[in-house]
Amino acid sequence: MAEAVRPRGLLAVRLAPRRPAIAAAALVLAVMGLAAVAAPLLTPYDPIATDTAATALPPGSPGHPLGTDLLGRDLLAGLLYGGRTSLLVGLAAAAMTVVLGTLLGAAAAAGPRWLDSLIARAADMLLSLPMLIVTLALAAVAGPSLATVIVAVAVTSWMPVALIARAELRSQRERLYIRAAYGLGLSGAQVFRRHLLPGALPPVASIAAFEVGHAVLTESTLSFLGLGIPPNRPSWGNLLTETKAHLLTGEWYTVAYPAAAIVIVIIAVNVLANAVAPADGRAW
Amino acid sequence: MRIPKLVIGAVATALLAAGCGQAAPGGRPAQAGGAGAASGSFTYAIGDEPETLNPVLQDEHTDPVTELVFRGLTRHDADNKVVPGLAESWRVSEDGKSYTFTLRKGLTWHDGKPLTSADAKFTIETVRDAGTDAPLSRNFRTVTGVETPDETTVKLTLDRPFAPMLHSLSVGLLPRHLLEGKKVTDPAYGRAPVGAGPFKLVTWKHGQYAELAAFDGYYEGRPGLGKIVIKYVPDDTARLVQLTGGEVDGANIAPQQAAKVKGLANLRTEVYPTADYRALMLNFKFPVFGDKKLRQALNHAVDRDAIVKSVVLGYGKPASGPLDESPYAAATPYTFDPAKVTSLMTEAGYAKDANGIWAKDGKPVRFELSTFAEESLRVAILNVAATQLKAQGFDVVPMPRPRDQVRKNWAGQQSFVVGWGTPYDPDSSVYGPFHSSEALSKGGSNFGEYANPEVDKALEEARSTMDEGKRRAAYERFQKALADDPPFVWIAYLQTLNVVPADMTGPQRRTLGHHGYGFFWNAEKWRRNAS
Repeated sequence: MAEAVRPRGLLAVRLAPRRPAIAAAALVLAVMGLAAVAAPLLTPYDPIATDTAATALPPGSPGHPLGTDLLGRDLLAGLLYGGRTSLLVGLAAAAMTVVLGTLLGAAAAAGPRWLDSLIARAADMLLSLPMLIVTLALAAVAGPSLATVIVAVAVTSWMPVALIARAELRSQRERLYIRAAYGLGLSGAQVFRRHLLPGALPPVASIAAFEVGHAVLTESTLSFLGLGIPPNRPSWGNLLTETKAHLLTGEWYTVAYPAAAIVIVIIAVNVLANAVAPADGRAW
Repeated sequence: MRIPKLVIGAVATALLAAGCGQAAPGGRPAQAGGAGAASGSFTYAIGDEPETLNPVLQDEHTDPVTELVFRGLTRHDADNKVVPGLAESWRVSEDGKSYTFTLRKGLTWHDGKPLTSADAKFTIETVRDAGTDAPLSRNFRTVTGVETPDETTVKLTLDRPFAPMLHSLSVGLLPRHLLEGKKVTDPAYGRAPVGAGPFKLVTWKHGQYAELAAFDGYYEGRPGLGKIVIKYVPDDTARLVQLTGGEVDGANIAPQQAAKVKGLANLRTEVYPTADYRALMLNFKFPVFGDKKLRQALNHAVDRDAIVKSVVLGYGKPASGPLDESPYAAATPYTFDPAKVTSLMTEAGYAKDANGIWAKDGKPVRFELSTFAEESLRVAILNVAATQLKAQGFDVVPMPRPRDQVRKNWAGQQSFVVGWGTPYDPDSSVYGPFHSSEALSKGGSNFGEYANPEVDKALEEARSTMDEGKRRAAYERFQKALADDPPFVWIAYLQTLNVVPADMTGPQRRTLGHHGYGFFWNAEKWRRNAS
């Protein structure tokens, strides 16, 4: 074999010591996302269709690579279609959290003093409550649905985003380039849109990545407790709920699949989020 | 032919006493409080816990604790026939409108106070007047008067004959001295009930356990077990873990767990049939179910054997009607028959559309199938039945819902996996769900708003005749009418699995009730030999 060739050009930068993990994480997420999107192409089975002639098949059975559950539902199909729901919840909830948080943070930073106090105190108050309890209460009132889970995650996770956006905007406001923008004759709204907001985005992007993992986890928790995704719609959380009874009856893999999927997504997302985070040790 | 007008309960009493070997003169060791014999204890884990231990606030299927604490004027034997309980004998007048009960002598409540005819009168009148507070009040609507000529005689007067009356009087008697002047729903009494059954309640820690101790004053003598603890463990897996770990001596287990228990030498599994069936209730408010041919086709489109084999691993049997486990069983089984589905649907004017779904006038047969999302067995039946019906061209949307959501909106459920059935007198479990006067919109339990004049007539006749032959004929007509115009898609009768210690003697096979309740029906005769 020839001696290792040093990567050149752009690759030389991309493959810095911390980068292989990031590439791997991105790859894993991309594969999972693609698999979820292409679920109907990857499995011929309907994830909720039972098959009384093929119940409790072990992994590796012909036609059912991951096996089937006690009612003959294909576990691979459940995992793929479950990924659709869980990842959708993760992305949608993270997007909503970031939008809501950034808007509130911006409003606090740019708005009148009373609004600033109101938003900051509301955020502090919500931060002091255990999130799961707030989420459970919301889910219990609104009833289980996909939208409930997304809203519940957003409503209980916007505070860090808002507080960081607010702090970031406040510190940016005094910078020279902002003053220069005003000096050039830009209006307040223009400065805000073109300079202040983009300047505050990098730390927010890092939280956004974390939020995806957090939302996937919250979905599983809520669904596991019967308050998340409506029963019978495959999601990783619902799969865990349905199979938890099998932990002690020998079919441990029925629990292991969705659990592994959740863990892998969260690890990958955290790796990515750490990469986006600035190196100077800021909390978010 | 008339059935005998005079029922002498005493004969049955003698048989019962001989059977259990605890008649007073016999002097069994247990009764004498012999060393060790009566001190055996039994800790049993069960999934569901009642809100109250007051028997008249429960339905006729009572939880184990209520079952052990209370006794009625009558009770049921191993064949679910009515036999004497606190009453030693009774007479029924020829016209079925008058009942005279003679109580046993020397009966006492758990608190030592004497139990007299006044308590029986109090119980009957209280339940009758409780209205919607007590579901069992429906059984006493015909009672116009209760008289107590002396301490051991109770006379009931009815305005019309009511065939299930003797069965109805198996409801646990309530002590007048504790409840007079209070509401029957009194929560304090429901938490710490005093009855006259073989075991008295020592403590009830809600959400944890109930502890019962043998009642020395029980009319058949002191029970063989000294102590019974009913532990509430809602999670199936947790129950199995406690059982195998020795934390409990016995438990109600799921069919999927039977194999795990089988290998354990110190345990034995008692498998009893139940009269508890599962079916898909069709809601007649939705026009999709209007055609009876379509409902017949649905009944031929489910493979009941496959459901029994996969969902309950064979611990059950296919259902063909609501009375399969009753002495009045007369329904012809529905076969799984795709050809019949096709011919019935074609006769009814349906044809398969491009998606392979039966359709008429451009409207495909599509409906939601729901059930309580918390009950894994019902959800499993829902999913398997939905898949089977889909395969036969019915677009069924499986949609389990949380219990609270369903209870607020029964009328909105298009079809639903229901559980009904009773091993006792059939009336209560067929009149409610199938008589048109009991429709949901009229406050009854006919949730699907089923209405069939023939069924109504047969049900009315069956409950109001005292002639056993006529009653049988009426229930036959009822089952025939149901088969022709099906309100439900019948699925399966369940069996119930209870694990007991290997050294336990006494549990006797009987067809049990809803939730498998009734396992402790003869617990006064149970004993443990090793302990």
